[in-house]
Amino acid sequence: MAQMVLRCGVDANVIFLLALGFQLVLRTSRALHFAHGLAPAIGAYSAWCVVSQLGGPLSLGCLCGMFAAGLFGIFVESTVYGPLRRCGGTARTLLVASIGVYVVGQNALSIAFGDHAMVMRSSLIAPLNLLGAGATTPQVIILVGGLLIGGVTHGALTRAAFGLRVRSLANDCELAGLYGVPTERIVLVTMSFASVIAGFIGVLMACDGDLSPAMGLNPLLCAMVAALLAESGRIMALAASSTAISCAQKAMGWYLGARWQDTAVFVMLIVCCGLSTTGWLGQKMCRRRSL
Amino acid sequence: MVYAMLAVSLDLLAGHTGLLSVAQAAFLGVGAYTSALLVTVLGASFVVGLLGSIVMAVSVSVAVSVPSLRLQDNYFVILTFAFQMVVGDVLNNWTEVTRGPRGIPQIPQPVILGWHVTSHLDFLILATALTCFAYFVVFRVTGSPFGRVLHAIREDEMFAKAHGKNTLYFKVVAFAVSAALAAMAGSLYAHYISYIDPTSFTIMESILIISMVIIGGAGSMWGPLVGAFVLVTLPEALRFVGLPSAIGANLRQIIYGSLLVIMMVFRPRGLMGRYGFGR
Repeated sequence: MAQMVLRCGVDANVIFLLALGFQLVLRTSRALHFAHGLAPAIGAYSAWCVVSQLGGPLSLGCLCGMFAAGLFGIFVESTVYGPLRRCGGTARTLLVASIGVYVVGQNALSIAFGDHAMVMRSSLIAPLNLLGAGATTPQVIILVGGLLIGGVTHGALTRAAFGLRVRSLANDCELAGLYGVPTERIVLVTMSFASVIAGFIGVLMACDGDLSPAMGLNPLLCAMVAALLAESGRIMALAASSTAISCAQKAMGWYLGARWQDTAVFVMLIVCCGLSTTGWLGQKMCRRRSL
Repeated sequence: MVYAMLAVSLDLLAGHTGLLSVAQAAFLGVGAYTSALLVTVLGASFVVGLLGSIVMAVSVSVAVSVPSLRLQDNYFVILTFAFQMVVGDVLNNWTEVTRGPRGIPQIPQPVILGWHVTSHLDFLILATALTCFAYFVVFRVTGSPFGRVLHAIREDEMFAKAHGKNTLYFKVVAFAVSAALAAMAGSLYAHYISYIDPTSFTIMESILIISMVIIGGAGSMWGPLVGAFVLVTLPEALRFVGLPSAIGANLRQIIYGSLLVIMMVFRPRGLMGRYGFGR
């Protein structure tokens, strides 16, 4: 039981951190950032190059992975999303472009590194005993990191001046621009922040398991479901959704077998949308009535 | 021809109704598996399998669309993602019915009123006939008052509602017709290939179908056909370039993805579309 709780917590934090970045990008740039699923893979492969190919320490690999993922986010925003928004592109246009970016990126990784799963070994990945459950160092870092990053992000969004600008942009980007909020810069910083977190998660996922070009797709879809269920964008709602999704996965795996874990997430989404368009702790997801 | 049918089915939804769905491959799979199971397990004829696949796809589409079409565009897209993943998981994991990753082999060739469809020419004739039928259905739907309401929903749903139209009903019906056409394509595909497995109906297949509509152009009759032609013949044309076989498939996907981005930036109407996709 302790092992299952630990695994549930780790997966919940992975989903939470990806959903946090996804939600931030969605609210500031209005883009359904499907290419967010690439950032963990880019971070993981960058770290793999440093650790396994160049023999560098894992900490340096992690930093390089986060840096590479952040660069990827900046590149996508500067060359794809930004120009599209300036040309009058809608959220749907950005989504289609995002899908294109994901397809290009995943296949580029496949060409460069192959489609087979690879492993990243380091002496820092050591087994630990955590309250009766066997844990690895990456899992402990994910647990602690999720709490820290969530707390810091919540604090920044509610108390820091930059966070208030982010929230103003999320509420009404035109009005925020009129009041002198540097919207382009905020969108760029938010995108890079989201990608850095995703890269960080990707490195830890690679240390805990294996890495492949499509490693970020399933966690991203779970993160999208979590973001959808916590429509309000509040971080507590996001954490609750992520935990519920992780618990549902484990419960489905326990009763029906591990192969049905992912199905639980998506069935949950379809059922929840059928029962209520409000999400769990959020506002209506139907179209807002115009004045 | 199969891809032309799929492209026009998605165009009815995306180009004429303004609903982007990432689940066309799921309906393709539902149609293929339903037809294959009816024919191989129950010994039904091709026509019965075809009709059964259409009925199954319509039933599933109504069950999914009624709760999901109340949502905003972005959330509807996520829901279709989720549905695509659910169908993929069911096809892979429900081994008692679908045989899981082993797939369904030895699907017999169609027999229609005594006509045995065996040669490539016979299949071409059958596929052309079904594709023409699909185009006819979409042409009639979009040219009718029903189609005008779909266009109104695409342009401004609130305006259509203000005029007393039950937009949910129209969207559900459009979704069902689109699913039926995709299932028809799936049934034909299953009998042509004679072996199906879950790897043919993944999310990447849905993305390929979306690419056909976007590149060819949404909201027109010729756009999906042109898009299907371009993206199906592109791999054949690339053979002459002499790409290493190890990276050929990946490079094709890179080209598809790049075309998606380029089209969205420079030509959102696609090559022959009437609807500026998403703008």
